[in-house]
Amino acid sequence: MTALYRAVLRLFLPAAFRAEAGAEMLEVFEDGLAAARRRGMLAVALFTGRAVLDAVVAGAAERRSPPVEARSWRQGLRLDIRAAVRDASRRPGAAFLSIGTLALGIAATVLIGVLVRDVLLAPLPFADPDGLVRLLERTEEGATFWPSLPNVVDWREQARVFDGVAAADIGTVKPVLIGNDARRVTTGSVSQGFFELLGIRPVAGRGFRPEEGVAGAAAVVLIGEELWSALGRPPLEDLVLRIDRETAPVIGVVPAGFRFLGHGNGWLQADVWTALERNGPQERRSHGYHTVARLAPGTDLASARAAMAQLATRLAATYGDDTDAQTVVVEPLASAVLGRTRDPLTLLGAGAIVVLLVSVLNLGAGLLARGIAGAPGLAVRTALGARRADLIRLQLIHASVLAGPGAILGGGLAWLGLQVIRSLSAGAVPRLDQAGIDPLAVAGAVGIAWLAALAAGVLPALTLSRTAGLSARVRTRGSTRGKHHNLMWDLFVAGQIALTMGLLVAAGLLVRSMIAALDMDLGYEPAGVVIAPIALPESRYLEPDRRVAYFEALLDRLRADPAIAAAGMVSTPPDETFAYIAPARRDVGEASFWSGFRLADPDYFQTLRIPVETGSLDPASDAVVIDRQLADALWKAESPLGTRVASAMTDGLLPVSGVVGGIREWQQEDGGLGAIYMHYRRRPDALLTMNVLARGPSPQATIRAFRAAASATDPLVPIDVDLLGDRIARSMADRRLMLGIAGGFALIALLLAAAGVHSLITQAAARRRRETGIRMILGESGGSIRRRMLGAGLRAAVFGVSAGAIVAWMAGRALRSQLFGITAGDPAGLGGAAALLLVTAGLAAWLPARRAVRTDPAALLRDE
Amino acid sequence: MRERRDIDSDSLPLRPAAFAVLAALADRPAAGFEILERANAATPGNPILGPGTLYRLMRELRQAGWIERSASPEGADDDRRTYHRLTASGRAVLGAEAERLRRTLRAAGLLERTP
Repeated sequence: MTALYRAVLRLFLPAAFRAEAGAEMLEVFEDGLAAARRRGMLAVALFTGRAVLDAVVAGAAERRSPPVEARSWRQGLRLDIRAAVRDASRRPGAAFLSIGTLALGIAATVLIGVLVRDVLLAPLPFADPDGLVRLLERTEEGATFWPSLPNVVDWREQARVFDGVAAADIGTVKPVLIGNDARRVTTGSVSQGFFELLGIRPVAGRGFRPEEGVAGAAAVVLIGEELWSALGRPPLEDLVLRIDRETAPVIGVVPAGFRFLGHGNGWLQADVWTALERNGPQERRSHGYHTVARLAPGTDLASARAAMAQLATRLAATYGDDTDAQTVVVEPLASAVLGRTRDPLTLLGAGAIVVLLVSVLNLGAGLLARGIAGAPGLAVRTALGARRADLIRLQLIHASVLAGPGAILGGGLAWLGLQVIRSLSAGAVPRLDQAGIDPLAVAGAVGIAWLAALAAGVLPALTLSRTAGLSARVRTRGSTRGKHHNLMWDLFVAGQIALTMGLLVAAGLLVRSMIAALDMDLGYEPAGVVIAPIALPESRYLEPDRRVAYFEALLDRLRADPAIAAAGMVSTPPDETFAYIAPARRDVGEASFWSGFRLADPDYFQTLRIPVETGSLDPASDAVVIDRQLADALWKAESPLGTRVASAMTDGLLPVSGVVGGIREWQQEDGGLGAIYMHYRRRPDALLTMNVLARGPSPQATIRAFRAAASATDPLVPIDVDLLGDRIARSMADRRLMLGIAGGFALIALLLAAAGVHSLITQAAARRRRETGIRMILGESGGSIRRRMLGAGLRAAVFGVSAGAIVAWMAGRALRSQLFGITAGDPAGLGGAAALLLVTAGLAAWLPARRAVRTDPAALLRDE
Repeated sequence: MRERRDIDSDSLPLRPAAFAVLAALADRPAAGFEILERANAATPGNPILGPGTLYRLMRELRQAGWIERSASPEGADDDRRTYHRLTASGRAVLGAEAERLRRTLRAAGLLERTP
């Protein structure tokens, strides 16, 4: 009999249940059988029959509803995942929204994470980069400048805290002759020990020897590996360059990709490297060298700063007014290199985190909506013994089902975004080419997605498990939802809107201030202007008079051409920095103002449409024209005409014969530099390189005319013609990149905002369907119901927008230092964001309300 | 083992079978067949069918934290059997349900007011 019962158990009980309960059931059966035997055969038969029937019934019941604990962990997970997928696919719109917003958030975060890691935090491509510092001079007034060569030499010889100090000037474009091949190359001049200090070894040949870096030494050069490859990598013994009126043998090749700080803080590469100190002594106030030093072993930044402060004081005492360096700024090279990129990237990083936060809120809101809808079900689970942990696990699974695809999509978007940024930036951002989406970044995306799921899933679970009992009772009594839920829901909507508004306003401020920076008044008009930097071959233009003759002949030909409206020339074009600037002083008073010095012809101003206020350049006198910025700084309300001005470049005080409008120098946003102009004929020996500009109605025709004129003047002078506007645009490439990224974020924020707010309010309205049905049955009009639902949706939105105004104000204050030409409390941005969010909220509340009043009230009630 | 939970209004009323099983364990620990017999004796119109049904019911009660497995009591006739007993909260639930029934009967005038 026992054997029969055991067989029945094996046949009808699920394996898990049998393993758990089989032995005990057999025990009970044996006890019962023994008792039945005492009462006779019929009792045995009855008992056995009942026990077998019981086993069959219990087995079937067990199969139909296995208890939570009876399932294995894996079975349970599989069932829960299947339920979550089913749930998500039942509402594909909501699922797609959750996945999409999460993907955007993940993409933004991963992208910024990769950029920060590979661009900001990556070690410099130099040997032992942590020991490298950058040195700057600081004047008494607190202005900082690239150091002058005599100071660099003094620091190198006297500073014990450094193992080496070296300077470089990279970015000057010069003509060179390689064999019979005339080229324009970017040159870099470096002081003794520069390459050794950075740990750069030539890939062929050797570096400069100390005796090659002294005044009067024979010229030798290194060339970049790229140029060497372009020449076909010939043996170095065969390579001789003609540069700066000298013949220079090539002694070595600098590895491909080597770049260093150059003009305008750019990260520049050079084709030809020369020894800086061969050129002889320089002015101690003539700034223009990026200076790098290596901390001596055991020296930290603080002691280096202290030692350099002492040294600077000593040197200032020795040289008096001849030096500007009252103190020396010592900062890690790594932070200096990325100076202009760091702040915007940090900001974008903060933006990415907020985008992620909003998308997590969106996801959480979706889950909360589902959770509230399913609250009675959850209450049943609670009644059946589900713990809070079980509910949280369930929410986590639901969140993960959405987060998984979100992570994959987000990773893909991040990759795509990086490609777009790369193609947009075109080398303007240092080290961007090294940034990549690698396994670590993918792991980051998955990690972020999971954390997002955790954050989004746990909040509703915690709230629901606390209120599930309430819901169950509420449901059995047949009333509408509890007040508690509605309040929580309104808070959720309001919080979401507030955060989104902060993000929208901040992104808007950044984009608008960047547009303002790009659109700023340059003080001249580059439109339609063609520029050609011309470097005359030394050998054929040895006499200064011939140089004057060349440029005058070229300008005459240009002006005679009907395609050209105006033509002029200048030594330093407006979009290039002054490599050498000096304080300008007037004949009376001690005040000085940093100014550059330009040789120009009178038509230069007209060509660039720089307003000429009074006077003009005079070829017959040493009188100079100054710009409005210098005039304002030193003369205030006085007229400069008839007074005199001097700077390190003017050889003493010169009379001022005119004033022209100021221009914004290369990438200078505050316009803090003045300019002194002198007629080119006063310095004919300096006319080896000039920039000739021409303006005409059609750029193409102007370029053609330019080429023809140059060819007619001297076909052997190589010229490169470029549109000035294009050159400026290229120099702004990294700003445009930041603008693009910020704009992208603003767009993402807008999408997230609209999607999130719409989904929240739609769901909130949908939750009132039952109430709507009852109201309609009780005879309330459709208009009244629509107004009521619209009001309910807008109430939360208004609250959120009010809180959002505070968030936006705080974000604006945090951004203040980054803004340009726009104030943090910009009312247009705030008002626009508020209006946008309110309209979205209103639409989201109104549409389901309209749908509801058009539906049969009975259907609305059945919905529950 | 599941943590014990306080008795709240969600727990009551108990199903007759659950009440009967708890009542069967009220005075002392018991093994499976004895519980089955006592419970069926207490609810003649609604018997627990057999060991399978009993086991599923007891598992639910155990998960609720109302009963637990126990060692054989002293003087037990066979210490190979699995014994079960009430937990403190099981006793509280049993008491609360008994009180609820008592109040229902009293309200209906079916129960004498006891001093």
